[in-house]
Amino acid sequence: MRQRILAIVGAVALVVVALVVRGIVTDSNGASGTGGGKPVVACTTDLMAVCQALADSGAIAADPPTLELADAATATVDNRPLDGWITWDPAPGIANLDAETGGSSRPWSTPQVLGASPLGIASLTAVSPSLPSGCSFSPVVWDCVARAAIDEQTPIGIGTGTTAGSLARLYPLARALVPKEGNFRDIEAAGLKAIIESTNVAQADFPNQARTLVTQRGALDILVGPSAGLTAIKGTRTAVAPQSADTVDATVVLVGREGSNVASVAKAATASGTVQALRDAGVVPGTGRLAPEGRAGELYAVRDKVDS
Amino acid sequence: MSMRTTALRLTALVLAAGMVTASCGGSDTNANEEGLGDPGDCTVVDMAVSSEKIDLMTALAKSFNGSDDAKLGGGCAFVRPFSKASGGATDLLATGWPQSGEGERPVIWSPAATSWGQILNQRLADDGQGKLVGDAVSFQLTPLVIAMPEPMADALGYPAKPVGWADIAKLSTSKEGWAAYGHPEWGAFKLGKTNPNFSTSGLSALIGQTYAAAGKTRGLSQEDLDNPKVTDFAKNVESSVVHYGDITMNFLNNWFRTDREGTSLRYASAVAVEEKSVIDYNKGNPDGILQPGETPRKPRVPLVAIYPKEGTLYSDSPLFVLDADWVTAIEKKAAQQFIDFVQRPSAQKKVLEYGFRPGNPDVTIGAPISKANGVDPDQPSTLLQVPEPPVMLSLLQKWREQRKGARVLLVLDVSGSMKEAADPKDPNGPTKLDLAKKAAIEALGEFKSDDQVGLRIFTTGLGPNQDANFQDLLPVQPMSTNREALASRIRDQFPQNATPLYAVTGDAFGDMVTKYDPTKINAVVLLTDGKNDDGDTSDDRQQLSSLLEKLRRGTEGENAKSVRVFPIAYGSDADLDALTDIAEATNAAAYDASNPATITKVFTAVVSNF
Repeated sequence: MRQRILAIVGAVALVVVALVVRGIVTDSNGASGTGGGKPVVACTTDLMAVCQALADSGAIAADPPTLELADAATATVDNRPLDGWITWDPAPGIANLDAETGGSSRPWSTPQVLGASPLGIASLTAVSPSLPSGCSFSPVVWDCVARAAIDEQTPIGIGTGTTAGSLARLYPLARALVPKEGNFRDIEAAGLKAIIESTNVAQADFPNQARTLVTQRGALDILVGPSAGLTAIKGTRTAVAPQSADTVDATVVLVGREGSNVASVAKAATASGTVQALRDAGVVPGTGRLAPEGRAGELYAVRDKVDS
Repeated sequence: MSMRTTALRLTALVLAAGMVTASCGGSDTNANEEGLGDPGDCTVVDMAVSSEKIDLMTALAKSFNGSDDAKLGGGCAFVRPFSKASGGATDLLATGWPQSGEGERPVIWSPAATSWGQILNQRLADDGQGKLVGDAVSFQLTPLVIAMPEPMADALGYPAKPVGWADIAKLSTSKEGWAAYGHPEWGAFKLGKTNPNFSTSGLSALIGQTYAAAGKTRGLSQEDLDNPKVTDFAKNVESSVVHYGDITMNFLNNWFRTDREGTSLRYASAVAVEEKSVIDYNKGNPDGILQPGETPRKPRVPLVAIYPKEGTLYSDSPLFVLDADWVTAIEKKAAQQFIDFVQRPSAQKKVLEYGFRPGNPDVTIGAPISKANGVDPDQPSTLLQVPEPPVMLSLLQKWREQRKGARVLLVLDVSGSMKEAADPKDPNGPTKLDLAKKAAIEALGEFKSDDQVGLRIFTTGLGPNQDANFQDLLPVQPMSTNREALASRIRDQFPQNATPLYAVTGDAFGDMVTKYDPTKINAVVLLTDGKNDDGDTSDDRQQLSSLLEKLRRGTEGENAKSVRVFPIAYGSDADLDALTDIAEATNAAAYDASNPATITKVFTAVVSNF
């Protein structure tokens, strides 16, 4: 009798364990009941082609939503929970800071790198951008680029200074504006704004500005972006910072919601369709590393200054 | 309603009301549907496009329709472009696009510039409605330039020496004129600009010259507009204007015609146009439309595109898929397929062929955008910021006062045929004269208070002895004193006798030359519904010949006093050919109102020249 009771208890325990394990597995796959069993992964607008390629390959749920940094503090889109987000580093860290500032827990876990490329500048071959005295186009000296916008009113394509992609591109210019013995909180907001407002057309994301650079002569003299993307633009010359402390990468990352597992998505990102989409976004797939931990805080401060 | 809301509404209304008329004379039609064929069971995508690209869009639609690119699920898409001036379309869309002969409600709208979409959304927001247009890709671009005959550009040292609106302002007020550059034979500097209330080119030029006056490239403000320096600059530029008008085509056609006669350098020194127009002109196709059998002939004196050193603006041809309740999901899908199609390199190469800059960066700018055609693919070097709508409104309001004044004689045909029904299908409806009077009275609102306007009627058997061909009802006087009386006198008219067209035109021209005012645009607006009919047809040809000689003699030469005659051919019996000859003899333009229902639009377009 005792054995039978133990057997029943054991069976019940096994059922409970099975249910718990199924719940964990379901959760870790990110299915959340909203993606037809597949993880729901969002992308920032300029990386939507990456999400679409993953959806086409069946690695993530169809019709992937867009998620911009400004809305990323809750890891949801239209109240639908997300399993992951593909964006530019360190946007997940900035979104976590947003959440904490709002009294919520961090929505995003540690990102995984999908691809990267050093930031550089491009200009039409027929155009000689105005640069401050002592500066040359190549190699890139970020202080020169920043001062070109601020002092020479050279129109520079850098984005709005508030999106994930734009903040990644703005970082080396912002760093050049940090006063000696100071930090990013000490940057003059006027300098950042002068860079953002250096162009007379609206700042936009990198793909749109790459198009503007070529099709609207006079709109942009210098475009800042991932150098692999810059070199793909016809009729331009490109320059990067020398291999030194001046080099800054633009890095595409996949980040899972806290508690979810997007390893299968990261694996699928090595398929040819997604690799091509990453290349089109201007990065070299499978390269790069995460920015130092403090960068999210630094760009959080930069965004505050731009918004002020 | 807040001041800002009112201002935005007014901006939109001013722009839109003007642009309604911008392509009067036959270009704002569905004629380009011809040749597209039968859509059959395909999903039809009606598409309203601004007139400068109707030929291109029709060609692209022909390539698309019936192709694999047009396959849509199990069916097909069929694109049907029609020409609609940007402002006119804005106005129609803001009012739900009433079904009143203005073309089918469009699925795609492609105005000349994105700013029209912003104006539309603002108008809708003011009325508590949602947006009709969102973001759109510019599938082609063309910058505003100052077109100048090559010898004149050479004399200014361009391109080695940059030239801009500041130089235009200086030249405009120079007493020496071209003599200061070693060419007294070219006379005074004369500028052609379209009316910014009607034309995207005119608006872009006005914005450009104002930025130049303010010494800025962005952030044009109300304070800038109120700055006396900016006001003086504007007045200086406007002082050299030949006349305004609704479309740049009139200037280009006149330039081309006078080029054949060897007098183009005296007609105009510079005209603000889109870069594409310079290419078309230099290729021998000044209006950009080759009629069947028309062979391009290169001009003797080519034009050079001057990219203003202070910066310029692009016409960026957005393709908006309308978020309207009449647009179905399948139509949106079909529209998107066409939009994808026109951005492909094969279609973008056609864009380039037509003289526009491709919107797809994969198609490199090349011929015909080349120095051989008077344009520079590496320009412009500076782009200007589009001002905020309230600033644009203020700019337009100020322009109304700063523009060159006008001295105009309205010559109104009151012959017996004007008593005919305007619509033959409605014999009891308004007569032709009824509609003409209404149009003329409405158009009076376009004149500013210091414009001088007079009224002359003409028909045979006038006067106490019934032997006069015309009668002056009001002398040419400032509108500040004439406005009400003009409306009243026009309203009083009734149909009378015959149409002594040639004699009256010659007399009106002669009278205006006698009292010519060099500080104003001197013009005769001649509305007639018939052919010359003075009781003796035997000498009509001789009369016309003498008249044209008189007009040319007065218009050309060292001591010419440029009085422009703008005839309106009203009704189907009007002699448009003779009226065109009359207009061209004075370097003006004839307007076609062969459909009497269009007379209000046409009259407004004519008055846009002032």
